[in-house]
Amino acid sequence: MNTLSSRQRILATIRHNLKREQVDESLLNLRLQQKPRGVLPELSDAVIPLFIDKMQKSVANVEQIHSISDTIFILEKIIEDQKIIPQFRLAKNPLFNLISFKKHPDWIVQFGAAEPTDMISLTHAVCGVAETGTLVLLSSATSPTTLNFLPPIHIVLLNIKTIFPHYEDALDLIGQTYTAATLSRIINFISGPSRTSDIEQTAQFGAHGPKQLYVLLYQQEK
Amino acid sequence: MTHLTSREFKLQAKEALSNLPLQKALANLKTGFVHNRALAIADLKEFDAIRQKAIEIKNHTLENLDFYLEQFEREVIAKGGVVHWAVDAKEACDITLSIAKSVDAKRVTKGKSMVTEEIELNKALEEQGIKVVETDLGEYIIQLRQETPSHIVAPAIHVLKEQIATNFYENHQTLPKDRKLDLPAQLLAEARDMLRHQFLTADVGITGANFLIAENGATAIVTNEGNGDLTQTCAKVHIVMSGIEKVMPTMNDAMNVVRLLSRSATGQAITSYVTFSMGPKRSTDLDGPQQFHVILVDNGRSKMLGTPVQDMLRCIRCGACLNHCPVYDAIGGQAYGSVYPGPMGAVLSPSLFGLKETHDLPNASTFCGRCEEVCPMKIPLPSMMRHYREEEYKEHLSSFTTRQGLKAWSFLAKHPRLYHCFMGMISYFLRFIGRKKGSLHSLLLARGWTKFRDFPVPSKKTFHQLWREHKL
Repeated sequence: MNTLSSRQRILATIRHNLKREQVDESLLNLRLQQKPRGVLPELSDAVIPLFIDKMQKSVANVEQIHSISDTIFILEKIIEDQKIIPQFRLAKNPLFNLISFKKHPDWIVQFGAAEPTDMISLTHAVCGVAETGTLVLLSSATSPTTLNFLPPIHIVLLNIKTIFPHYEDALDLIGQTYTAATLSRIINFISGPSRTSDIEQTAQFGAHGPKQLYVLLYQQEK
Repeated sequence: MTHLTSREFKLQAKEALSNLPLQKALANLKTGFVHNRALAIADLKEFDAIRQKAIEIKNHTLENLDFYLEQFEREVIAKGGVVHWAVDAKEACDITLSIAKSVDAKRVTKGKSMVTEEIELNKALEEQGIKVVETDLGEYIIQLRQETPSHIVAPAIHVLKEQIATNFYENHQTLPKDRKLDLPAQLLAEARDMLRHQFLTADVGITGANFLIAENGATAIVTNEGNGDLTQTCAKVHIVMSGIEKVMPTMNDAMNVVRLLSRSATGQAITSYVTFSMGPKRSTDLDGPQQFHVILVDNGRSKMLGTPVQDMLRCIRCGACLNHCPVYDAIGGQAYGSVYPGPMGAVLSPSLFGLKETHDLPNASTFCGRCEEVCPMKIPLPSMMRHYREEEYKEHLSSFTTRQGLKAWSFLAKHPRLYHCFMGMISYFLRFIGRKKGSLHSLLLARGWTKFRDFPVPSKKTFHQLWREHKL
């Protein structure tokens, strides 16, 4: 039996087969710090209209509202149009206090991670990316990941001022906001509702995750 | 590899050609993936520049694979995860089993992962009494059918909806027998209901990885259904299984490749979900797994470095080469007898599983070159297949007749006078026996050709003769 660990054996085979000069690790570390950007596609439109267009093409519903408190009108409309049980799950994000759920004492509004019976989840995106109409969500106590995947309807609030041109801009923002130690466990790039084409290449929505995705673009918090 | 049946490739290909449901299902390829990819790429004028950049990134990473793997490992550990290294399939299965047993796991859910197919993880787990549930819709369907995937992106592309309905009636016994399963939507709704419960009650969730990020120890999955996310978020333990070649230096590098991946695979600009996961649930998190393990699988990959097939490690598993291959298009994926079918499989299968078992696969190509043309990583697949054909000859793996035929051909080709004389005789002979009809219905040594079409009678003058005359 070989006394080397599997780790040592794999690394030894790699080093042996690469037949390379001594590696200058400082250059590689520098590359890790500099995080060179890829080739950024030129955008065909301004970021906001492009974001909306791309999101809609991915079969998401985009609504523009003035302030977070207007969210209530969109929720009322969804409940009325779809004739569904008004049951909501959201995390304790202080911004959601601006939504006057009190107006509807018959609505069930619960807080925390998602439960399998939840109908509608409400979350807040860190930012949006225009190039493909993509939302960026980070997991935290105020944004548990299950809210993004378990309920059939997912509603995401996004500040219209936080739509950036490219993925790299979103990653820069995350890099500036968090350190390696404080960075969230999960980074979700979400670009539409759950979908599948596994049955005869027919596109269908709501495979396992949300059947519907709503993006509410707000101008200002209050 | 007990699943590997590539030795039977010729027989399996023949069967596939006369399999009517399969032929009907394969017809969907062109209208779906091929058409959508063309549209998506036409819509991104920087596609080639992004491609060039991605190749640079991947080559740079492979040249420094040891450094980036160790860097990735450090970051995973710093975030509370555990990294395991597996030399081969057996070790990867054993590590998974020991993690599962340590939490007394009864049931495991899985996101779509080709490397777990490669190492036959499901079989290893089920032999130890652990129930495995595939949660990707395509994978779930083929699990019910007890088949292997026929496509690396759409594993059940060979199955018709009527066949899926039959499988659901047989397997979902608790549901009313007279329910309707005619439409794709009805099938999807039923699968969604059946799998929901599985996500929530699984002990261990296993996913693959499209990327491993060295800068922060993240593992990434690029998906549409969201099943991978539910698999890894709801289970107590998340195991990520990944080939060692999936490492990328930074998130920026990965996102540059994401721009190519979905466009090449399904023709989407980006999939519904791209998820980066770092470590287990934090103390402040409301959900997430208590344990986070990454199993780095070698299984023959490190041996490809420094060889003529090193560039194959750039593969991002988009499946474009399958979708555009005339051979795959005719026989589907299962005939190849390997979890990696089509052109990418014709190179990867011999590299990982050995040429002895798989030497027919590099021969299953017309060398039309479309695979290399559509590959987002510009992997020179035809020349790698040629490399394996040469190895096949060197290792005496081809049949006696083929070898003698090749020997005779190479002798003739090296002696031009003899060649022209011989070809002149053959041409004369063929013209003689086909003089009445102008074509031949049956030809000795070429029955495989004449069985399906007539062989035209050669023209009076050979190409060389004509060439000489025109030059004069």
